[in-house]
Amino acid sequence: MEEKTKNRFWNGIVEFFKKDLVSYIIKRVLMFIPTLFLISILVFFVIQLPPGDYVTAHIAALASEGEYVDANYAADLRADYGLDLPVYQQYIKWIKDIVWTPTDSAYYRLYHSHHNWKYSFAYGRDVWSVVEERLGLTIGVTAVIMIFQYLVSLPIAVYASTHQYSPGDYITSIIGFLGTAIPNFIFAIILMYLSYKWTGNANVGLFTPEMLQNGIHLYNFGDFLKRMIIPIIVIGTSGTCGIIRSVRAQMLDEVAKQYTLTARAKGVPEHTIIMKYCFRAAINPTVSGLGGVLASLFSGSTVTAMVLNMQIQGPVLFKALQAQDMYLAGAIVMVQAVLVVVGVLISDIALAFLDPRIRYSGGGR
Amino acid sequence: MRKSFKKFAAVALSAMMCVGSLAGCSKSAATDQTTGSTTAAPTTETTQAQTTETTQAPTETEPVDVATYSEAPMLAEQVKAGTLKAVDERIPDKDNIYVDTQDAAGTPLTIGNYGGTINILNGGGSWDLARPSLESIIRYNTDGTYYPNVIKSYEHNDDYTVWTFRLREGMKWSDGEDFTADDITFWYYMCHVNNFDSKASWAALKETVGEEEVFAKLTKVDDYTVTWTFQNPKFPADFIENGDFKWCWAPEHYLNDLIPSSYYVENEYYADTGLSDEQVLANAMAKGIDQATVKDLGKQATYYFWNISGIPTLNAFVLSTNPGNSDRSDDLCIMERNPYFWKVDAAGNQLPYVDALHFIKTSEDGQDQLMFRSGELDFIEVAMHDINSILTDLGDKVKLCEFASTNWGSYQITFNYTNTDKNYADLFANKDFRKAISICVDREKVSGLLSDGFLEPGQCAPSEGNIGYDPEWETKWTEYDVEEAKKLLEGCGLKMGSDGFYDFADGSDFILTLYTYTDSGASDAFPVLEQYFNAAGIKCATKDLEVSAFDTEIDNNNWCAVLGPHTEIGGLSLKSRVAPFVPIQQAAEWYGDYGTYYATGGAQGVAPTGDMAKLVELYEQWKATPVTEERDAITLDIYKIHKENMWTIAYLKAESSYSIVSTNIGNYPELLVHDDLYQYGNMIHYWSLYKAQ
Amino acid sequence: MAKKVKSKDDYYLASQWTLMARKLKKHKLARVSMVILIILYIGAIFADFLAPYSLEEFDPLYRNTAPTAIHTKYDGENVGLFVYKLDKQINKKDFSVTLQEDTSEYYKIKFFVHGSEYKFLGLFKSDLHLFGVEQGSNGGTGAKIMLFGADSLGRDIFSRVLLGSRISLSIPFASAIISFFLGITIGSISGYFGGKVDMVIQRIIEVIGAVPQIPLWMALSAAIPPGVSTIKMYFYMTIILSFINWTGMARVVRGKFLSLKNEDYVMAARLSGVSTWKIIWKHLVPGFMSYLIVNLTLGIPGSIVGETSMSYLGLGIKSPATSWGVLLQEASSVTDVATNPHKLIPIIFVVITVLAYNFLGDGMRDAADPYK
Repeated sequence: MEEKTKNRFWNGIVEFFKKDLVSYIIKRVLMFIPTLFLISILVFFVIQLPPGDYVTAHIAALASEGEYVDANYAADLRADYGLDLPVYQQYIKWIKDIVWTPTDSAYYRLYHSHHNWKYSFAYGRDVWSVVEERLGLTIGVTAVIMIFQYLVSLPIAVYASTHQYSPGDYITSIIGFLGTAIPNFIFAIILMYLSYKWTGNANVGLFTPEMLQNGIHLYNFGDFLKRMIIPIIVIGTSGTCGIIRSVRAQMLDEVAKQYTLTARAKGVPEHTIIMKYCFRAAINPTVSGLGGVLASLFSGSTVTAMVLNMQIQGPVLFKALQAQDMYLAGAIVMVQAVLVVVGVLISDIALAFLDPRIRYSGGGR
Repeated sequence: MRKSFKKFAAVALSAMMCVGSLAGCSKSAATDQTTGSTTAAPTTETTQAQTTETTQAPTETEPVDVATYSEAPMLAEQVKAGTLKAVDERIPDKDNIYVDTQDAAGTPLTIGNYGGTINILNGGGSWDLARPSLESIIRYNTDGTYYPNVIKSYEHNDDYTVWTFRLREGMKWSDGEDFTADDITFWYYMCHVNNFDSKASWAALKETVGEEEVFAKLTKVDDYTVTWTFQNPKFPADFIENGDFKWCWAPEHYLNDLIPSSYYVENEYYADTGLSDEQVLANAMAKGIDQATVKDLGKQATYYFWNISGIPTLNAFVLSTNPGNSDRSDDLCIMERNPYFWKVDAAGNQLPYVDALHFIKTSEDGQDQLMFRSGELDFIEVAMHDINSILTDLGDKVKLCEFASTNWGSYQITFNYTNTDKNYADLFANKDFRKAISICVDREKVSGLLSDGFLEPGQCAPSEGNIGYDPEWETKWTEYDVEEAKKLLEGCGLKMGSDGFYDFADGSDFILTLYTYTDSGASDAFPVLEQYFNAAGIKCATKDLEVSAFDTEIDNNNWCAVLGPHTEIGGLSLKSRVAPFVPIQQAAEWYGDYGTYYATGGAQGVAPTGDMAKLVELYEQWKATPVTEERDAITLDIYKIHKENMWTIAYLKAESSYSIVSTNIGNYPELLVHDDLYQYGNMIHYWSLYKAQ
Repeated sequence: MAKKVKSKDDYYLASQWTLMARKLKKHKLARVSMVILIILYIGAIFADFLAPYSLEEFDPLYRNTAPTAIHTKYDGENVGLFVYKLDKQINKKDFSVTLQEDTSEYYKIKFFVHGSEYKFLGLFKSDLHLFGVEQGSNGGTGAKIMLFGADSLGRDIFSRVLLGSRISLSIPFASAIISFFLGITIGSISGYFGGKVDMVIQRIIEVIGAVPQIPLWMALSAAIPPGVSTIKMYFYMTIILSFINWTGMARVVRGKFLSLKNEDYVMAARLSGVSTWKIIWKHLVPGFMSYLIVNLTLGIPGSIVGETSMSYLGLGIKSPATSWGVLLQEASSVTDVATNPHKLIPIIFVVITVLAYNFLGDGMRDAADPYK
């Protein structure tokens, strides 16, 4: 992705860089289109892969509630939701409606919107309202957890690399790796139970029932933070391992490089060498991997979010997939994919500020 | 009907006698008189069944005369502020009010205090909010007796062709509008007959005349009286006792602009609204009801009405209008007290006691147990194996309550008698094979392995306290004897193969493939049972499928045998549901395609023979007779055939379901019955629960 | 002096692998990890023999019991290691189970006992187990030794951990190798040919990376026909895990190819008419093989944890077949955490294995580091 060129000078680069950056961003955004197109196909067909459709799942659910369903009901439902069409036609309709809904359609009249994400069978309302409900929280929680991950893993990585093979290196690394090694779902259950044993409250879910009724305000913000502890520990520590390892490795590379030796020979203080030169260089790949971390947080947090009853999108996605509520599942996956793609772009731009050597005009990534 | 394997059980504590004569009660006076005991306890307030002998109600309490009403402090404040009418104007007078004095098991209620909320788990299904809140036409006690609930009384003429419902004068919808006969005619002609509620298929209000199915004629006699008229006799079992027929009303004043012209059916009470589908959807949107099609709208607004915020109901609790708490899919869904609720306690306090029900959603099993431990839920349903751990953690802060089961035993195995492979069909048809499968398992050990011995060894038969209980039946084929089983298998024509497993006489492999469905708990038992079957020379395999895939296989008659059927044999009583006793519907495992034959009028499926056919014959006789004694006799015959054939084998006794209840919840009954007819948790009578301070 | 020269010669003449092995020695944790992994894999291979019981030895008496207490003194006398049988009481009021040791007789722990039959390494039948208990001192039977306690069907968790390690240790390994080859092949095609091929492959990688894993797991699991045998299930799981993991490897390989393909030696080979595949496999891939192996090692722990998550979601191996994921899934109820904490022992094995792979990978990375 980052093609390094050496035949460029510090001076004048800023000017060039400004021009170049804009065209780079435009280019990258244009690249979204084929990527998103491919994602949408994959998503739609992946969701269709399990046998049966929403109607079979829905009827099974009704039946287990004791409701008798006659045969016509299923056929009618399929016709209503267009599930009787061939898959490719369903796909085309789905995409078309997301991109543009004609003004004379019922959907447009209901929502006064050109964009129709269709209908969630399980929730009995339009998909976007379900997605929107948890979107902000999902992004917020993910951001908090991501920050936590970096706050924990960067110091460990720097320490481990500057004290290679010392007991400190081993101990900090073990701590950093432990979160990854304990499967999240069981870790979460254990922490909730311990929390109950120690504090009398298991802290299930991100909100107390009181917050769900009255919302989060200053007076109960402390409770909310308490509720964030277990999710942060479980999800946050599950990702630290990767960051520690890559930063530690990069640091070790940098520390051994010529410029470090030169700086040291010239009497630059050690912490300046480490923090100002080595560390800056070492976190480049980490920054460029932000998008990937985001993706793994989204999927890694799903199981944990289910176990912890976190009110974010992961559990909704899983339920939707199980019930074959395909438009809802499709929308969530699409939104998460877009977030990841945007995350990758942002991290690439961030990288540019960290490492001016990176050339944007280079073709085909 | 299908039930989840994790039994929602129920016990009818009544004797066999109750089967046909439940309608009766003490004062079966003249038809046109109400009993005159409307202020009395519900059980004394029951019906006038003309022809049936009266059976004793469980505990007959003295009528309670309520002099004055009082109300919850939060309502009193509103009255004071002038935003709400006084309580006397909100609820019926003492001749029409419902005085609640005892729970479903007949235990007298204590007078509670107002305030607080009850926090419970939201299972997420369409019916989850209905169980705690729904008020239906009649209500059952645990012994199977029933009494009018929303309606003040009902009666029928001598030949059962005209049924009269009388309403409670002064009763109001939760928005303060009067509840009158118009709400019933509106529901019937504008919502039900035209299939706007998608439930025109209900059998309770239909009959067969000649070749055709026709609807009853509903007549408004006066504002508080309606009659249902049939051409043929309509017996209680098909009408008032039919489990589907829970309500017959809809708020006319609220819904009248939501009925599309496209659904209009000519009737004498209401003219066509003339509204296009789109206008209706827009009207609904204006009321905050967001639906994609009028079909969805009809179903949601007139069938699942308790799930739609804003629609007035007659229930004790109505859905909140607070955004974020007003949808059953919300993380916290709130149902608030209905200020117009028409029940009072013995001291005249308007019910319900608690201010609101809070339904809290979780994403995984077991979270409710943690939340209950943390005090965030007031009671939870628990499986047997989780009980002790919670009791240990919480000690005397909680108590254990039971929902007894009406199921016929647990860990049931049933076979596909209409298997397309003749080898299998013939083998399964042989009673000796079923006996071999039953006796080759050491029930004592299985009981220990699967339940630590808490679930006792049993057979697929009505359990003690239930209708049809027979100790001989319960112990039939339960003696563990592998050698005898092998002898029986050989007697069925199976030949021991070189691999140590039996083959069919023609040399082809015999593999008993047991289908299970995910989350039924049955697949856990498979490895245990497999050992015993293997020891008896039966090779077996298992297929665990998602419920929908499982059902598809059953519907397509593409299966061998089932462990933990989705639609079990037997249950509460024939009156509650017929299909568990007689092969008349599609897709119950124990009769396979025989049921399809009846359900499709012989177009599909396999014609039943022998005892299966006899069941159908008896059922036809049962349907045709109103005489209680005859019905009872036929019911006994049907049970006898079941005992004789043992179409389904079970290894352990039926499992009750349990709830653990915080001790600060008052009036929670100790022992209830879990059954569909009784609407499961509806029996808890949430309006009478209170939170001790 | 001569010796030193020799060792210097050794140093300069040593292959990259020898050098790596030497440097690896410096990372103490990596060495320890390697030993641990070797022990674990040996345990998996000889699991049948090491485990006192089989996967299907149910016992109602031992349902959910804690690890068996091992004693040495009976009646004040030292009789060697022994266990007691248990005595079980149930209380139907509060559904409690009380277990007590039945001290009327003792059961000595013996080595090389005869138990359930198995096929040793799939070659010959045997019923010999490393240890176990046989008859009691008064000729009684029915006592068992369960080092890690028992599960909800009275099976020995120690045996299940050992037998389950076969699946848990090999699926991630196999899938890592498959994704290794997939990654190298696709990555090299992408990097070597460039242009449109590269463009398409890059998009595909991007897409797989952007779509959350859960739907992919679910869809791929749903594609597995119901009721397949354990061996087939094993095969499918391997494919699923590798299908998701190959992209990272492909990206790395592509990057390396982009920088190496214009090197003189590649050009020379091309001009001499060496076939493309031969250039890729003979000349390019070995150039950064060490780097790839490091990546391979580091990919395995992710798959081990992934397998447990799949089991939790009900998408993986199902009981009675056993993997560590199945064991953890079975222990993941609140009641088990509250009252049967011994069921959580398999976590230790997952943690140790994941840590060991990580440290081994780290050590190898350090060793492959060209700057040192």
